[in-house]
Amino acid sequence: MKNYMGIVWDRGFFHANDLQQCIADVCTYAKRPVLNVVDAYRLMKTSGPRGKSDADVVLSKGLFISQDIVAVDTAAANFFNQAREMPLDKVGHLAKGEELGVGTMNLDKLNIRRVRI
Amino acid sequence: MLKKIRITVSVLLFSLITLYFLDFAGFLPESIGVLTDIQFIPALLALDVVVLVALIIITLIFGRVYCSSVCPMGIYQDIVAWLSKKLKKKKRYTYSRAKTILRWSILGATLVAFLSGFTFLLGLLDPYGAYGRFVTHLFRPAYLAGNNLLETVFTSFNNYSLYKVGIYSLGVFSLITALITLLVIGFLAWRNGRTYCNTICPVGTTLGFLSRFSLFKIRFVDEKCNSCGLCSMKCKASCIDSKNKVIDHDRCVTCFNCIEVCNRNAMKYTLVGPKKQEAVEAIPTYTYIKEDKPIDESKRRFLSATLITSLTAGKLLAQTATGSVLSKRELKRQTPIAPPGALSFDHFREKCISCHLCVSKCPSHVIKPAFLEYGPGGMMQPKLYFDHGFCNYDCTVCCDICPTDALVKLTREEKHHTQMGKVNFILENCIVYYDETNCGACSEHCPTQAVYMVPYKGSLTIPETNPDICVGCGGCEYVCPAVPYKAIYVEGLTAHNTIEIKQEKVEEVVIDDFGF
Repeated sequence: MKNYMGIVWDRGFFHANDLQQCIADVCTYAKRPVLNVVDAYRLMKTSGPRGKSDADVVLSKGLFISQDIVAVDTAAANFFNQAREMPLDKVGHLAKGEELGVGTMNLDKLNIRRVRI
Repeated sequence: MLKKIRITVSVLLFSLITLYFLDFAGFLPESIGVLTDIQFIPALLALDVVVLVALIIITLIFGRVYCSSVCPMGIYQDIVAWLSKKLKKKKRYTYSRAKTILRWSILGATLVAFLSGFTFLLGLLDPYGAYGRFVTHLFRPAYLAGNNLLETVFTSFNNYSLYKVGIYSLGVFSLITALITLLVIGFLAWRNGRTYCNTICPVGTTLGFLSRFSLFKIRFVDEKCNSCGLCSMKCKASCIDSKNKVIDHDRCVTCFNCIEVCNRNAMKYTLVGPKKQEAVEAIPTYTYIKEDKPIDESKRRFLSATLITSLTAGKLLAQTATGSVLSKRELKRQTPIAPPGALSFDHFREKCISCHLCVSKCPSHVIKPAFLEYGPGGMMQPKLYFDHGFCNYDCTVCCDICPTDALVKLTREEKHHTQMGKVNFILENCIVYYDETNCGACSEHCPTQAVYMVPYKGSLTIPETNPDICVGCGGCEYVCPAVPYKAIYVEGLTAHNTIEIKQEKVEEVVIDDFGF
């Protein structure tokens, strides 16, 4: 969902005016992605988004794909939680997105295919 | 034939070196940088023995072919002279006496100034450096604007092969200097060909001295010559005395115009032969008469006036700078930040001729010419600023391309450990402190985490700095959203340091489960 921020010129406005709500709002834009992919091959634990060295990342080798943008973000947040604490209520835009009807956070209701390679 | 070769080579090299400065999309191969490395003053300052020896040997064999074919300022003058010929059908040059005292005193003054740390004079007069500034401040903005205009046109036809680029102001002083130099040298070239090469240019004086002893020289074939004076009318350097059949080889730039125009084959470009040498020696060559040409006096006055005013202005500015104190809100950088590879202000000021190649080529647009920040001796030398970007941690473009090695070549590893400046945090300006709102942008951009967030009130975090591991990249300063004054900025260092980065242990975290 955060990727949507790149479609506007002035991201600073989002940061200055309730970031989480802005992210949820921009996801209601008319053009929706057909498929959402979260690349969790290497996740950054600390010193993000740039990082200092390999010590900041974890080679987790994950990949999440879904048509539902809120669901895939929720799954990714839960996945991340295993590397470092990431409670879902901290990631505000998920709940706000669900409120606006962008998607669902309820992963139990979805048909998820878990694949190990 | 010789003239044709000269024109082909010179136009080719000129176009390539100009394109090199202009190119923003990187469509030229990197090896094109060699064109700047073979210029005389850069090779001299970089102590590039191979190039220097090659240039000296070439001059000792062939004469001033550097001046006619390699030096971009020379070809600029040729273009102006050619235009002048197109508009003035009966363009005739006339022989004039050598301005030996003027030439050598300018060379001497430049040398003395350089040795006293006043490299500004060398940078001002160096033909390559001056041409570099023409392109950077005058041609390039036009080129970029043209690109932006074309992009609009292309996009309206749904062709997206071009993209718009930002055109940034690079300082009024350098722009005005470049403009004045362009107009002065252009005017001299319009009127009388290679005047600058033989009166002001220190490279011209040096190579001219060497070319007195060159093996190949343009000579009169006395039996065939009838002193018609055609050669003299075409000589851009005004060095042919057709009446006495004498050529001033000191000033001849081997452009071969004379050979081309002579319809009696009375001019040849040949090796010295013992017989010929005797004949030439019998005729008196140059007489040093102090000619009181008004324009030369004004040149001298302009140069000395600039020197004196800039020295006094520099002194005044230095006095005011020591008196000022950082006010509570406003921040002002006290020491400029030299680009990576500069090593120290002394090293940098000594070697930089302000050609502004780095200014043109920096992919992050963080380099611009200083005014008096380095002192009067360092006017127009580049410094970093973070209005439009920050210095990319992994980028070494400026060091790679600097032709004088004012910015020494750094490997990526060396660049990572180079400290160009130190971070300063101003608590009063920070929006976490002032507005009690979450931020952390500075820390997010810091490549070494010299700026890191620590817990503040409630769930807020506020930046804390460790200047020892700061590299001075300006990421924090660039991204800080605080208005009107930034809450974090980089203060320059007079000498760059090497930082030590602690190697962190890589924690073995194995994630085996999906987590949901």
